[in-house]
Amino acid sequence: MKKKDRKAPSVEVAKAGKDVKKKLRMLVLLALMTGLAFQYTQLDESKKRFIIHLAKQVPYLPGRYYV
Amino acid sequence: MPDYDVIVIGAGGGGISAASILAGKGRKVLLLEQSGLVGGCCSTFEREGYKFDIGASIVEVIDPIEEAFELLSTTFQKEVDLIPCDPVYSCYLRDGTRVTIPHSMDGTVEAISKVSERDAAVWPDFAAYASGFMSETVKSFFTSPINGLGDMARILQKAPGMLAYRSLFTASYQDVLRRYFKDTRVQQTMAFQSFYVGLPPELAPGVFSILAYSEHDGVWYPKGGMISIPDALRKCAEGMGMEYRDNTRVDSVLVRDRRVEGVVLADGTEITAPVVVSNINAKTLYLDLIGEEHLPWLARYGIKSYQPSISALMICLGVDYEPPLDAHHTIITAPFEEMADYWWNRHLKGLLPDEQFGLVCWTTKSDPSLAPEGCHILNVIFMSPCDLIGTDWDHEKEPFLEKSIEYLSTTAVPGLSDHVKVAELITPLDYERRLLAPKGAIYGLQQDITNQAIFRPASRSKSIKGLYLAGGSTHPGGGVPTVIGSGMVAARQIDERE
Repeated sequence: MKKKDRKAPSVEVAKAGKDVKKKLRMLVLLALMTGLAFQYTQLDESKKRFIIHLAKQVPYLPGRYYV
Repeated sequence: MPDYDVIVIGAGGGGISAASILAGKGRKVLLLEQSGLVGGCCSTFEREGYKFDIGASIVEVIDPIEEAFELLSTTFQKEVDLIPCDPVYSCYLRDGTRVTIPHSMDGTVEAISKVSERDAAVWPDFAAYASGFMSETVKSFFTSPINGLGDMARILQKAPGMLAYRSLFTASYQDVLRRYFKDTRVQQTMAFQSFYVGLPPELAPGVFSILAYSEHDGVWYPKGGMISIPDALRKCAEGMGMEYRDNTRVDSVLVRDRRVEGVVLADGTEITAPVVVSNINAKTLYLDLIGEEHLPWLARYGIKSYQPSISALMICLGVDYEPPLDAHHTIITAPFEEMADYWWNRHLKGLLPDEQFGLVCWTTKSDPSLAPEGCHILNVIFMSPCDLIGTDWDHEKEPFLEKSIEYLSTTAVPGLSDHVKVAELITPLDYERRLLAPKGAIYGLQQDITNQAIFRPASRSKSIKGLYLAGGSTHPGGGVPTVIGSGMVAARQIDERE
């Protein structure tokens, strides 16, 4: 049985597909960040201070792991 | 040939438990203490016939302490006469209301119901949740080493039930309490306990919300004062051949090629040993006694990043009347918001609060023998900054003492100012000088979630071979049972590896 010839997509179509995927990823990331930022603004001041207090410590964690 | 098998620096709870367990294993141990008393923050001193505690004022969650004494072929109850405290505490709220919390669950529900029926109804749920987490923690966390991710994995394997409480790791102490209790006065009765880990309720990790429950598992006061616990460990260890030298200060730790070789005393004497256990603050140990040149750059960066826990002061009062209180502990408490305001706008800025909150420990309620007949003792702990703006504690000591006695007389302890016979104020600066606790931080290093477990200075040093840590600044953290647990963790690792 003869294999049906499939036409390979052109280089331009493949590139356009990659661009769309990249843009979609960016959009999802942006939506996620906007969502998180919105959620943060909804928190009370006390919870915000708790999160900021912990976030400020994050850069030190690799060093603390080695003490 | 080294002089000893093991040298232990500091006779605080962690150092003395490590030293005693290692002596019990047949090691030749030398315990060095810079002051004249054992116990560090769990100690007692005498003045004019009154015996005052220096820091800790009760003992709870005693499992690690019982385990330490069992390792010495005895029991905690045999060596120390433990007096149960019931009520577990009483609260003096900002509006003048007093709420007394008894040991029993039913009694606690009844006490809370006088403030809020709704919150009283959820107390059993909170107690069951906190009790479940506490039993998982005690069996797995307090006496196991956590030096890396492998240790963490082993602990989770040993106590997989801990995962059911994962929400406690991302919430704050006050978030957890607010989930259960809605009445601000009920919240006040459990708010102050967050300072037992050196942080206000909005910054203390949710895992410590068990402190609002843990006292219901039992609270005891050791007869003779808090020093009775470390002193019993010392006596057991001396019976097993441990050598103890007080009033002996260590100036530096001898390190060669990233391996300990012993210590140098303040008088220049060198004492050698292949293993050194340090019970002093980890930051002081690495930066002052060892020197940062002996540390890899990442460890140097890490150790400098640690902040001391909150500082406190203690007012020691000998009085000639029976104070109008109803519990060993009376907490002068405040709403969450006021405690947060104190932290951000007072404590961190070096200012004293307008209105105090803290703990009044009536030790003679439990053990009348601590004071002359007919007299009583009150040890009052107030939160306060170490570095004051525009002044210092040496100048503020006397006026602050007078002001505080007056404040207590008009609030939680009526009539106090007319009955004071002996008064002494131990300021954060005194704690720094007497106990070598940097910035008067009696709980060691800060204990938020980014300073816990694998991120806390490891009990087996990752930079210096033969060096082990015990005390409040290593795992599992500050507190009498936890520091004694830290000594056991160090001793176990030495026994297995050295």
